[in-house]
Amino acid sequence: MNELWQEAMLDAVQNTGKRLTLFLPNILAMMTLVVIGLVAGWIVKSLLHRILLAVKFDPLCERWGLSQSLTKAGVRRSCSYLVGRLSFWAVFLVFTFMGIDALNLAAATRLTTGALDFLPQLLTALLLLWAGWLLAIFLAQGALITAVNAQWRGAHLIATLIRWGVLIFTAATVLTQLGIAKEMVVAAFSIAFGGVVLALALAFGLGGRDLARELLERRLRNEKDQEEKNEISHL
Amino acid sequence: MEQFLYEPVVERLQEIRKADILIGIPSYNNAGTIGDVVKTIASGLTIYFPKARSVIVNSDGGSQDGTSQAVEAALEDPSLLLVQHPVPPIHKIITPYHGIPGKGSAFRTIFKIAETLQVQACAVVDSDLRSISPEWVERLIRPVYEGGFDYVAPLYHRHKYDGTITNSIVYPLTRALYAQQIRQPIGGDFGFSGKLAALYLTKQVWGTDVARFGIDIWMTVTAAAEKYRICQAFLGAKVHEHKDPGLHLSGMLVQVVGSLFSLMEEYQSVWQATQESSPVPIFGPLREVEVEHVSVNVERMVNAFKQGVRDLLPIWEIILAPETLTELLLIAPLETEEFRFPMDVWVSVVYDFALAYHHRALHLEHLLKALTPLYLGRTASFVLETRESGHQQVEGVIETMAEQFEAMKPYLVARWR
Repeated sequence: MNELWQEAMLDAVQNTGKRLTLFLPNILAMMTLVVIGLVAGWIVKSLLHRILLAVKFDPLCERWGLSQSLTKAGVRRSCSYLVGRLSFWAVFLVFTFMGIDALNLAAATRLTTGALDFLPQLLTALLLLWAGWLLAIFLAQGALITAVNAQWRGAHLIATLIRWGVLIFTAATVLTQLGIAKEMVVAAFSIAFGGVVLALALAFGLGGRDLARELLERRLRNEKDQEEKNEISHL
Repeated sequence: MEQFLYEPVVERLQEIRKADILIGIPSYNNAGTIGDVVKTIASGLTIYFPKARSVIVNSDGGSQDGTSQAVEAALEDPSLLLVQHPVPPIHKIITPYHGIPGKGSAFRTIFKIAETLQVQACAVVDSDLRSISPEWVERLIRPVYEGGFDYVAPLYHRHKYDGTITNSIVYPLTRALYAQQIRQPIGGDFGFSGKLAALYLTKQVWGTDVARFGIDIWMTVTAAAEKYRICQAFLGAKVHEHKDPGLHLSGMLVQVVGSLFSLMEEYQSVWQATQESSPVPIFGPLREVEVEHVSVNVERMVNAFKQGVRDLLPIWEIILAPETLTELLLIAPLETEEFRFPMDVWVSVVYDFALAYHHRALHLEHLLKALTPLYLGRTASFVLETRESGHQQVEGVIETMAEQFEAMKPYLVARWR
């Protein structure tokens, strides 16, 4: 009985030892890859930051309105810094996934494969979000200035509607791209869009009847008056 | 020969081969006025330059109202034969132009024809003029043809509220930057040498706002910055068709001011080195002339400014210096009759916009369009300030503003990196 027990214990220890001997290099490989990821990420971040500073990327972002939109969103870092940071995390994540893969565990492999498959979709979604955000600010700004120059009273409202319209559309596109509750997003978007149009129609039809009449009257009748009252030749 | 001249025009140029004087008329749906303009020019050429080989070029933007036919008919009018002695025939060229629809593209075709015919002196006049006389041809051409000048800017008597972009931005800013007191830099009727026309053709600007309303200021500034000899020709009163008053103001501002700001980039080494401005010689005796009355809706302009303050403040915050913005907020609550937009604040506004354009603080078209309510505010204030003033007093106010632009130029230079 004693011998049998000793043998069982020895087998267990030997088996664990064997498994540990087989698994330990994997852990070391993972840790090494994570450390390499940290170093490589830092190098890429620094390099990219310097290159972007050299090509004057930040003034370019100011010109495109990206810096202003980030400031409005509460992000006070420069665009070159943000790109550097993003590149660090991208490199680090790739190495971390490689590290997890090196563990040779079935669950870990499934996780990394899934994550890597999802990465292109995520990047596309991020790009869509960025482009949508920029477009919303640009279109709203242009509409606001044009409406103010045309002396429309609801200039601010028009600009706000355009900004939110584009943002909502962007959000729906991003969620669809990510494959998150596709049907629900489409339905929600349709309902929301239809609702907005209906609300506008009701608001203009009921609440803004006088305004509509005034606008039409001004358009059809006052153009002549305006000519009589304002004959400035600007050039 | 470049692509933008049509084949029949090229053939016509080969027939004419060479000319001394060229008068260009850009047009777009001006059938009502262009006939008289062409007749007057032809008379001017036969009276004042009977021995010169002359060409009249109508560069048309695709008129649908019979403008080209009106030009044809005008040159076949027998009443034109008012000279007693034989003169060389005046050639005519009627051509549509290539490129972005606008006055600048029409001018490009005229420059190209001038270069091809190796003309000595050219002039361009608007096709909607009602006050043109044969004398205009002499005043615009002779300084170039016989006086050794390269560029002749027009000088008119205008109503005190006519040409407000010229008075409040273009004249004072051009004068402060390029140190030449050219009173009507965007008058629309100019004389220039064949040499200068050839230089204009070498510039790559025909895809920009220069191809539209920006052409006038571009021609003037290029001549001034490239140190060509400039004079002014007194042409009396400028009376022309009033079309859509104020309707396209924002677009006009974008094109004119945008061209002016973009030229500041090109010629920054020139304007940063200039000091005090000097007068530009005037050709032709100055005399008092009657001008058409202009009505102004001040309240509408003040309201436009107030709406700008209400809605565009976040955009102006990006463009204007904080102290300029504070001043604007102080004047915004004033009632129409008390409304005043101080001159120095206006100069700061224009310089801040020029700096924001240079630093690309905003999308450029948005930036330039955001100037409109401020311009209307300053124009309203100018009207209120000068309601009781005569021509000379108003000219005095414009001169004071031009001096203010010059005095505050160090502000612009210091912030231009």
